[in-house]
Parts: sequence; C-alpha cells; structure tokens
Amino acid sequence: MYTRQNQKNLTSAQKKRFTAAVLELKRTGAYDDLVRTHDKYFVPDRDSKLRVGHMSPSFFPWHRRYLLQFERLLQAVDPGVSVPYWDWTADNSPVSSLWAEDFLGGTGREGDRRVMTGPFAHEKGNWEITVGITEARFLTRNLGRPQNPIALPTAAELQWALDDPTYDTSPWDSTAQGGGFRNKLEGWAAPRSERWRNHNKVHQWIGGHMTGGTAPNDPAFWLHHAFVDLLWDRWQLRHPGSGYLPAAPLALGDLQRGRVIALDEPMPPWDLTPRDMLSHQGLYRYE
Amino acid sequence: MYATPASAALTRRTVLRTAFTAAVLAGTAAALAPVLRARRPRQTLTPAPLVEETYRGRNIAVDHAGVRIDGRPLHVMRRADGSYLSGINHFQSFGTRLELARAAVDELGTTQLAFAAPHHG
Repeated sequence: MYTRQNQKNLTSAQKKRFTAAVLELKRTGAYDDLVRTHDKYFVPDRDSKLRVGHMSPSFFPWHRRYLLQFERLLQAVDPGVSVPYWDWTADNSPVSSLWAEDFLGGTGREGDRRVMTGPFAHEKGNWEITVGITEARFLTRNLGRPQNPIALPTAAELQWALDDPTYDTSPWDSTAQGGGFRNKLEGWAAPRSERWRNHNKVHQWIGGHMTGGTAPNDPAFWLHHAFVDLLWDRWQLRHPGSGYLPAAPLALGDLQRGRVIALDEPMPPWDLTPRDMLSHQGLYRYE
Repeated sequence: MYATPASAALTRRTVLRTAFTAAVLAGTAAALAPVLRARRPRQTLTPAPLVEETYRGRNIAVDHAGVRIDGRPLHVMRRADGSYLSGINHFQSFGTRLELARAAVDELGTTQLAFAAPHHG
C-alpha cells in the first residue's frame, strides 16, 4: 500500500526520485513500449472495432490498469516512487511549479515547440522521442496554446461531470450526449458553446506530443491521468448506488456489440476486466 | 505573424485555369496547345488535389486518398458523428479534413510529419 501524492506537495527530493526513475525506464526502452501501447489501442468510434481505451466505457478501468503498469515499472527502479497527480483545476498556469526546471520542465520554444528546460529537454541527452508521428526527436509542448488560447477545465466544469449519476450511456461512444459521467469527463460531451471539456481539454492545453496518440511521450501524461483516476473515485463516492455500465454484454443486434467492454469482459492487452479495476483498495490511495 | 486561413485558400488548379484563360484571350491558344497536351497524361497519373492551399507557409493537400502536409501523409480517422481526427489531434475533432489539416499545422509549428508513422492496431 502506497500513496499517490498531489504533485504540488512533493519535496524537491521526491521530484528528483520520480524523474530519475522515469529517465531510467526511458533508457531501458520500457518507456517507449508503453507509448506504443497507448497509440496502438486508440481506436476511433467510427471504426467497427473494439475500443478499450478511448471513446468507450472502459476509458477509466483501462487507464487505471495502464497507469499501474507504468507505476510497477517505476517501482522496480525505485520502490519509494509512485505516480503523483496533477489537479488541473487548481494548478492551472504555465508557471505552476509542475512546469519548473526541477520537475517536468516548461513549455516549448516558438517555432518547433521544443521543450528547453527540465530533465526531459532534448539537450540534456536523456529524452529522445522514438515513437512519434513527426520528425521531432525532442519533446514538444505548447502550454495554454498562446496562438489560440485555451484554459484548463474549471472546478465547475469538472463538477458538471461528477454530478452525473449515470456512469455511461448508449451508444457508449464519443457521441453519448444523454448524460453519462464517462463521456463528460473524457470530454467529448460538452455544451455546444464549448465542444471540449475536462480530460480532452487538458491534452489540448499542454499541446505538442500531448495532443496525439503518442501523448505518453510527455511524462505529464501520467500526472494528468492519475488525477483522472482519482476523479473516478470521487464519482463512486458521490454516487454509491451507481456502477460501471454496461453491466452485461450488449444484446445481439446492438451496433456497439463487440465494440465496447462490459463489466466482466477482458480489456486487451490485459486479461483483466473493468470489475477487476473498480477499486484500488489495498494497492494505493490518494492523498 | 502568420497567414490567416481566409487569405490562404487559392488552389493550384485555379491559378492554372486563370493563367490559361488569360493566355487564350490574348490569342496565343496555338502556342499553348503542346503545353495542354503535355499536361493530360500527368493529370491521369497524379490527380490534382480536391483542395490545395498554403497555410502558415505549409502546403496542405486534400484528396480522395487522404491529407498531406508538405507532401507527407497525415493519418486521418473518423468519429461516430462523422467528424475527423488525425494522428496529431486525437482529443479534438473537426468538421472537415481541411480544418483538420490546418489544426495539425497549428500544432506542428515548424516540425514536419514523419513519412512513416506508427499505426493503430
């Protein structure tokens, strides 16, 4: 049992240990395997294929398991390390300590958006991008997207998702608008005036690698998703009578049958079901 | 600092058509005939893009086969509502492939797409 801390409360020694363990996974190649996994399992919802990680109910359990895989690799390097979380409703500025030289480093420079500070700056020699869709071998960011400014999600916007008592709803994809915590938090469901919310908006705010399928190239990915994971806890606490949906495999004739994961169906690439991921009690807790 | 989308749209075909029309009006049709003949086979081999424009100094080409930025393919995907996602924008979708390509250019800055990108499973 260990604790996942709010990143703003980490000591400089803890930040150093976390980033050192991440750099070690990069050195061994384990990190880039994780990046490939995320990209491989991003299946958009027009495709008649199984969607496990995005635009589907298993968005939360799939990413919970994915973060645990990363965290176990980290802990094999340094047993004292866990994944910190980033509350983007509170630490919502490009000058937050999260983006300082001693932690994740800052935004990219103008032009090629290359991150120039912190342990993941290409010039430090320890962070070569090998799984990407551009020619950039360096990490890119564009915090706040100054050319077309975007703000991080507000507490009210987050609450709008947490207040929904229904976990997810038909058609169980990015167009599910009738309600549903999952699509509101993943961020495809939004009022017409805004279009994007919560999780999706955070990817856009960071910019650079974080807007694409190889988003985990940016270690900020893990801190973002640890907070998303914590939010699933908050939703469960707020709605004790609600649970993961769909509870049973969809009926014959349902267009989404075979494309989304029900409560007791395994989530590739693991032989684990959403039910296995409903609680992390005994594994870790959030501060 | 950057060209705006509105000022950016002028297709290569439009430019060519205008040039040829002007030439015909000037009475040099005979002189142009070999040029027109020469264009025909090339068009069959490489169909002109449906849309081609320069946006923020980058060449965007959209045709039936896909989207290219400075000649390099952009991986395009669809959402259930019909809108478009790309390898660059996974967490936001766009109504048209041209908007999708412009958003990719905005995100790329001065970086080029890779010729060979990883593919989804």
